[in-house]
Amino acid sequence: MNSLSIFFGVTNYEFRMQIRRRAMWIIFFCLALLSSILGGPGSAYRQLIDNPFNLTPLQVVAYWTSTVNTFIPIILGIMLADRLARDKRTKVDELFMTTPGALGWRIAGKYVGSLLATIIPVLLFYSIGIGVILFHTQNPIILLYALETFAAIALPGLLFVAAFSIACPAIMWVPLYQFLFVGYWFWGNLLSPAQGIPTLSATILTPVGSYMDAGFFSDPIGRRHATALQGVESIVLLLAITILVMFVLWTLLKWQQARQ
Amino acid sequence: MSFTQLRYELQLMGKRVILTPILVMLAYALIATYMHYRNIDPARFLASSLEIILPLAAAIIATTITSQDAAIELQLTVPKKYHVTVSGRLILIALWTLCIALISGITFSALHLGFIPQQPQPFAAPVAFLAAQLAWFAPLLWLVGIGLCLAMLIRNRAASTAALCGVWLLEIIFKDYIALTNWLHPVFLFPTTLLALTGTIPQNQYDIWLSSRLEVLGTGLAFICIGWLLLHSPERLLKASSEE
Repeated sequence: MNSLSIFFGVTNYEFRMQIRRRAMWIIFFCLALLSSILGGPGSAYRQLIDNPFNLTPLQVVAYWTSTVNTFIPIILGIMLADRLARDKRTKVDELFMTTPGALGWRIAGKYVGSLLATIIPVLLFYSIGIGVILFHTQNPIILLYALETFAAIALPGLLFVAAFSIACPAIMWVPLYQFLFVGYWFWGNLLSPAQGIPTLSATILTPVGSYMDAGFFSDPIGRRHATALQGVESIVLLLAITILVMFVLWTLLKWQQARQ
Repeated sequence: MSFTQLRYELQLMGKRVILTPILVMLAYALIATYMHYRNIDPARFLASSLEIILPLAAAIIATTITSQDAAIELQLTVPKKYHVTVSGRLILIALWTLCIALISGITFSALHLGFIPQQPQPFAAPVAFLAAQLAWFAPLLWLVGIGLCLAMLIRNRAASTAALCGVWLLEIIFKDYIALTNWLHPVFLFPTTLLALTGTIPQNQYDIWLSSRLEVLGTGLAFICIGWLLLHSPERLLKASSEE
């Protein structure tokens, strides 16, 4: 069987399995609802219209992308964490071992398919804010800005989080991973170094995308100061670690298969 | 629940349930030691372990154990009701977390690392001790309660955990808004660490802190009651297991 057809086949089925999970849609719907209520009715979106920091349209879009990227990756990471464990629980991993398809392509297909399906509700949630900005400014260039900021600020972090969420449950209990992941997200992204606690949040290894936001769109709220080069470094580092994690997963699963 | 059954339930849940809270506290102890050597007071950081992190760990474990049972079909055929079995498991998890939190809290106080608000006219020692424990006990009960409800309503392990963690994170991100909004005080989970309430604070602030702890305790108990009622229809979990 052609490797590419295996990859597309696995991607297709993983995508369909994940996109049909009603629970995933319920969670994103609840999140959209909560974000509209907390901070006062429509508060999260009202700021995009009121523009209290006098941001340019591009910066307003970048601000919304950063806001979404503060907590959405947690939901994405947790929803992806049971994908590999599910294969073991339903014993299909043993069935896969008897098929001729290469393990690497199957892992890649699982990663791409389940990630694409989970990104769709993320994009829908994201487009609520973009819709509000578009309605307020009546400027279609907002759509281009939305694509640009999502690709620069959010996407590298989502790819990074997805790789860990697919790979780590291969070596640890899924709920333990979910707990550690949530703790990591708060510690490694949102915790200020001023607290005195050693943290990664001030380094370029922050999937929350603050270096990209500050480097490319000069975050005027002053949450972070960074150059464009640091933004690029952050993206490269996140993508390199993503590839490394998937490679380690492939090696580990191959080793586990050889031992059986 | 007999001793044999208790032992059996513990074996079923596995060492990971027992070890998780211990490992969390050990990791905290290591980082606190590092902070101490850098001349940074670790009291607030240690308080976060009891108030914010340990309840989350207990709630995720409770959500997982409630929403998934490998032998659910078998469970439904035996005379013992499913809600009794799950209640026993949840009590085990809560009691174990309680033990770890109590021992840790007493150790922090003994090392003069306590991070608890006090009123100008302090209570008698036993009452003050109990009031101080509310700082972590109230969010523990609340998060386990809502975890139980989410597990039974959403009927999906990953999704209910995601919802639980979403609530946990929103509590942290919107702490200032929740603190300033009176009607949200019954769901204000982590004021002690996040608002840095320690030492002797004005009486009116202490009263707000104490009443919000009691309100969180009340809403937590309400969630546990609702979750317990939802546990009476475990057939729903059968359908859920095929949807994962």
